[in-house]
Amino acid sequence: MAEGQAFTIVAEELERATNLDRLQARGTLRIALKAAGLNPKQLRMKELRGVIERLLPGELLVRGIDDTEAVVARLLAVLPRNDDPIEDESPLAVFRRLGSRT
Amino acid sequence: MIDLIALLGLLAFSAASLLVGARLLGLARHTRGLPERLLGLSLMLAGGIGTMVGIAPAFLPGLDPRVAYATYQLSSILCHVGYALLPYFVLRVFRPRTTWAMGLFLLSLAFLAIGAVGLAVTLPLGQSIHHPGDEGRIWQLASLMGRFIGNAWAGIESLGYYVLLRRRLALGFVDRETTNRFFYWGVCTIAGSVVWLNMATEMLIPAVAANVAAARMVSALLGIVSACSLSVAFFPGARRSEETLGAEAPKGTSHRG
Repeated sequence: MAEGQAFTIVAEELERATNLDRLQARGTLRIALKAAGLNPKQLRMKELRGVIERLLPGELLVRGIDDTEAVVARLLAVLPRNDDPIEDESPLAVFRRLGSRT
Repeated sequence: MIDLIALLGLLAFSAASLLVGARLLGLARHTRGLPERLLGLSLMLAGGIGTMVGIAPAFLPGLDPRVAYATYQLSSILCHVGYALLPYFVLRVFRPRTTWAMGLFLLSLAFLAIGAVGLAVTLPLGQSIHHPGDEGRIWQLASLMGRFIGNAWAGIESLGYYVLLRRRLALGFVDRETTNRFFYWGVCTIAGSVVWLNMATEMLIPAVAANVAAARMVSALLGIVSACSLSVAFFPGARRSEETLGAEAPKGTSHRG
């Protein structure tokens, strides 16, 4: 999946599933990602899934959206099921490799 | 006594650089990855072989001055190539498509090239390249500036990434061992940058130059800190942490930023 594409898909679904406008939906998602130390352009599916499940409900409640479970379910449904491998040359992947035994 | 501690600090860092450098180069043979090759070579050439070759004449009092001269020149070439590979590693790994980072790398490279050539040309027969006379001072300072940029940049990037990963660690997105690797390498490179700064202040500030023992003690201690953190960072632990999502954080963990 191209950089940022997963973010866009989820942000658009968040906009449809709630009364947030485009800017608010993207901003809310960005805040949740930032709290997790993630970059919207370099997201792995499992990270995005984790943020939607754990951090986004809190952000939605703050914005007056009570039915967070239904929203989360809709967002998870639009995420691709296959998990993408971590980008080989990201600092995380490189440093993980630098400590490996082989 | 101070000289002995200074030597211990230098040898500790040199040995750690050799071991970690060799390990990373061995790893690069399997993975064929450029980053491990760059960092491995940088450590081997600058911290390891270059440093060892550079201090050898000091332990061989009867050495022919021409051989000592050649040894210092060889050491300087090896070290400067190694120093230059460090900011290239940082550019390649942390900021591969960033214009300002390319500029910073080129700046560091320019200082190193100017310093290396200047030191090579002005080094008189019978003098140590590590303690250049008046003619070599400006070149040594240029070289130190290039080294400082590389080390400080590496440290800032690595510690900044560590702070970012701490948040991901709390959510179970990354393993603790890799997260800590950024911290230890950050400490190692920052310690190195302070050593270069310390050497530069010793050359520039008379009050520091008057107290050489204290300056060398600081460098020695930083060398030991650097050696320890480098070893901890790049030798795999006995037990790897869980890497699965959610392994380190219970479901429902909320982090408001």
